[in-house]
Amino acid sequence: MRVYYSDVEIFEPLSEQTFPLTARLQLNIEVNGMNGLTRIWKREWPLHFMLIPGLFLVLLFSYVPMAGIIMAFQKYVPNKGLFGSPFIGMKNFQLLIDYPDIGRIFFNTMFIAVMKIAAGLFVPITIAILLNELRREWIKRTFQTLVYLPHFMSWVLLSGILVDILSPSSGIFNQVLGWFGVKPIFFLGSNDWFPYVMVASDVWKEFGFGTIVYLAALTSINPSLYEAAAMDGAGRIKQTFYVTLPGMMPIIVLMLTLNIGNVLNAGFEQIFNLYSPPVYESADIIDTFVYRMGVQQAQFGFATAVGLLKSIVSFLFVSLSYVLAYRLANYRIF
Amino acid sequence: MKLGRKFLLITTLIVSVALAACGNNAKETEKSSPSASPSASAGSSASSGAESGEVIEVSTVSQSDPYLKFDEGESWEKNSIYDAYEKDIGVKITNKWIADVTQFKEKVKITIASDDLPDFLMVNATQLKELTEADMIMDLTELYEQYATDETKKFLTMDGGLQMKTATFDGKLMGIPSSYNPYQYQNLYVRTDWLKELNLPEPKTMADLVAVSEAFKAKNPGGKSTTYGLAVSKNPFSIETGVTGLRAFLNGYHAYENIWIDDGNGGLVNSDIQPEVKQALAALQDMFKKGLIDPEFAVKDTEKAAELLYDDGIGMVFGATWTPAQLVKGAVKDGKIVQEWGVFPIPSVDGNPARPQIGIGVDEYYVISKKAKHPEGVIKLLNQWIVVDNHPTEDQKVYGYGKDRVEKGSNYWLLNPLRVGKQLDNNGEILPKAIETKDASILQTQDQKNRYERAMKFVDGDTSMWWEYLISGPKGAFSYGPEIQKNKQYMQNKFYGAPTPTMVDRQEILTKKRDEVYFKIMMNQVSVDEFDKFVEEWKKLGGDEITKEVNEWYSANK
Repeated sequence: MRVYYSDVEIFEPLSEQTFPLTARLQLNIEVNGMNGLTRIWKREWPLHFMLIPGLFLVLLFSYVPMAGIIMAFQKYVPNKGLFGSPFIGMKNFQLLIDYPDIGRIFFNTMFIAVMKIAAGLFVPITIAILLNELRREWIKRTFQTLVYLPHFMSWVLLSGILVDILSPSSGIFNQVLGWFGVKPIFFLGSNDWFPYVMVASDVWKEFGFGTIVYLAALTSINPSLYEAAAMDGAGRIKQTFYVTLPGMMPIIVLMLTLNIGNVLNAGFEQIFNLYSPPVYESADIIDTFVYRMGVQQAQFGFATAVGLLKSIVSFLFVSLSYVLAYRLANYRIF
Repeated sequence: MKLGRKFLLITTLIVSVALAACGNNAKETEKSSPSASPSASAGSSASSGAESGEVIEVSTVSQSDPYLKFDEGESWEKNSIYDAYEKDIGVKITNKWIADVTQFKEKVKITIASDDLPDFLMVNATQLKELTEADMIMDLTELYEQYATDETKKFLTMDGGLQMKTATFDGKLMGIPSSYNPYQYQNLYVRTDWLKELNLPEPKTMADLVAVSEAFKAKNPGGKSTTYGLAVSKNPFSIETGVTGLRAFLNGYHAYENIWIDDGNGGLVNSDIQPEVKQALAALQDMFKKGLIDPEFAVKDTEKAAELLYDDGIGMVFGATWTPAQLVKGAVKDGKIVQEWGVFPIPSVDGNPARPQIGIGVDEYYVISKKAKHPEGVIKLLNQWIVVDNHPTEDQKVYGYGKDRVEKGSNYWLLNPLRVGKQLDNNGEILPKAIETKDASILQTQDQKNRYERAMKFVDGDTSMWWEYLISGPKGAFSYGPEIQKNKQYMQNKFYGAPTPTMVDRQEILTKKRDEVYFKIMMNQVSVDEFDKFVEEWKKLGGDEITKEVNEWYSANK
């Protein structure tokens, strides 16, 4: 009697996770002897062959352009190209380090970005859980659509609206604060407020989008778990903490890990449209700096150097969070 | 057997995908070659150009414009202006690409970075230098000498040759300046109906300016809840801010925004760090404290800041000569004039008249690719443009209006691929006089005729032309020009070379520091003495280095 892996498949589809390749091999080897490996290869090689065009495209569009990294070490001259431009070693990086405000700029970037990541995780999860508790479907749908809308607006447009809303003389926000006896605050012109305004407005714009992801995660939780918890006497709150949140954990960890790669992206479009010289101190981030320096002055090498640095830092953070997710939450993304 | 069929299917799939990919590649190469091959074939056959009756081809890139309206059946590929150039001077124009206003500059950068230049294109000063250093563009010295007509040569040196000099590197002419007239001065625009109502004198000194703006705010003739004295927007020191800027305010204090001026010992110094600036900033801080400047100006762009002007909240603003075209949005409502504005020269802090700061009059250049087959065609385009733009015959009106040769607001002139403007004009002398006396006979240029016509429409009751009268009419924005011109009462940037190496590395930080300090002083966040600290910092952060380089350039180019 020979049992083929494909015969088993008829009864129960075997996904990679429940029945990984090594186990399949093991099964085959056990059933068929060492011959099994060859057999699998014989059966499956066309599938591997089909990967080749995809692999080729990935190589062409994702790996070959990485050769452009050498621009970071060059004084790039267009008609001499990537391989003819003179090398200047680390001068582009030196220029970056020598920049008097560079510490401030890195701090601003991380400060705003980390707050955005944290708030961008917390708010949508909370809203998703609250929405999930709503009984009436139509209220839930309406709310979901409304909070989702700002996601589609560009920052160029929203910045104009924000300037109006936050205006200390005529803005609605300050008027409301005025009812509680708060003096008007110039949110966009004050170094104390600017970073928080960036975080708050970004969360306001994007939390609807995040909520959808978490709502999807919520639907995948098996209802019998809630029933069991209720039987054991858990109320709504307890159910949330012991059933809902653990059930969402894989998605939360995934989103967090992906977002941590953005730790050096504090949101160019948003800040570029809203900042002004009085708040440079708290608002100037790497991307706005590179824009003024690299793009406006056509310093290709310099812009590449900063880009490379950002990629390296992001890569480190993503790797780190991946390892942590695996070690602490025992969650594997790949 | 089963395996065999599967194998066949898969192989077919892969092969077809691969073929499709190859097919695309082939198409790509075909697509890119037409631009190369015709010029190549043209190159072998027609080296002598139009004299022999043959047509040469030059390629360029163009910026599409929402105000350009094509005649029926015409397009960028085929239109009466391109046809006219081909017929009249034997130069056929093709476009390698066309992009709209928002994309054009970015696309030029990419074109340069990818070494894919058309035969000629317009670039900015930084790119001109970059392209010269990269040896991607042609030395035009001899070409210009040989092919430019005497009229062209005269036309482009009207200003004494300054603009041509900015395009010259080591004695080699590398580009043709896209010239314009730099002798245009900012003015102060004030609500004259309010002045009359409150019985105030015209502002002649900076003290008057403060007094008038205080009166405007306190007595509030507009009757609005939000009132300030002077309209200011978020980039007040930038040259790009034509209305609601503060450059003219600085000029009133004999201070100037980032130009290089005489240090009194035959050298040059940067105007940003001069003590006069501190005085001007102190005055601005004072106005800010008194509530004469919108505390939110730092986040308002020109249009938003101007809303307060339209809305009777503010009655005073500095601006370029075309400012009335902006003011008209509030001044004329439903065909009625609801606001009256007057133009005044920049007030001065003391007895010496204020000197408006001006540039050289060229920010962009036409350059010719080193690979161009027919560079002389470009110079021919230049010759022809100067002829048809300045004294067109009846037939040549095609170049301005299209084949039916009548003005219909389609902006056909935008189709001319190479355009240069007059470096000098006498609008200020001619127009106010002509309009006042309704004498059309003294008008000289097409521009003057157009402006006269519009101003006359206003005189005859067409309120929509209100702005032209305020620009060109008696006591209009142009009318103060001749006086300033005669007395050389302007401050022109003495440095017109390409950015120096340290400028390239350091200008950004200097500008950032400057804006930060200027704004904070203005907004009363720091004491005005912070300016002295800034001066020290400016020097240390590369300013001294730049000053040295600029002076080296100055001694070599005096």
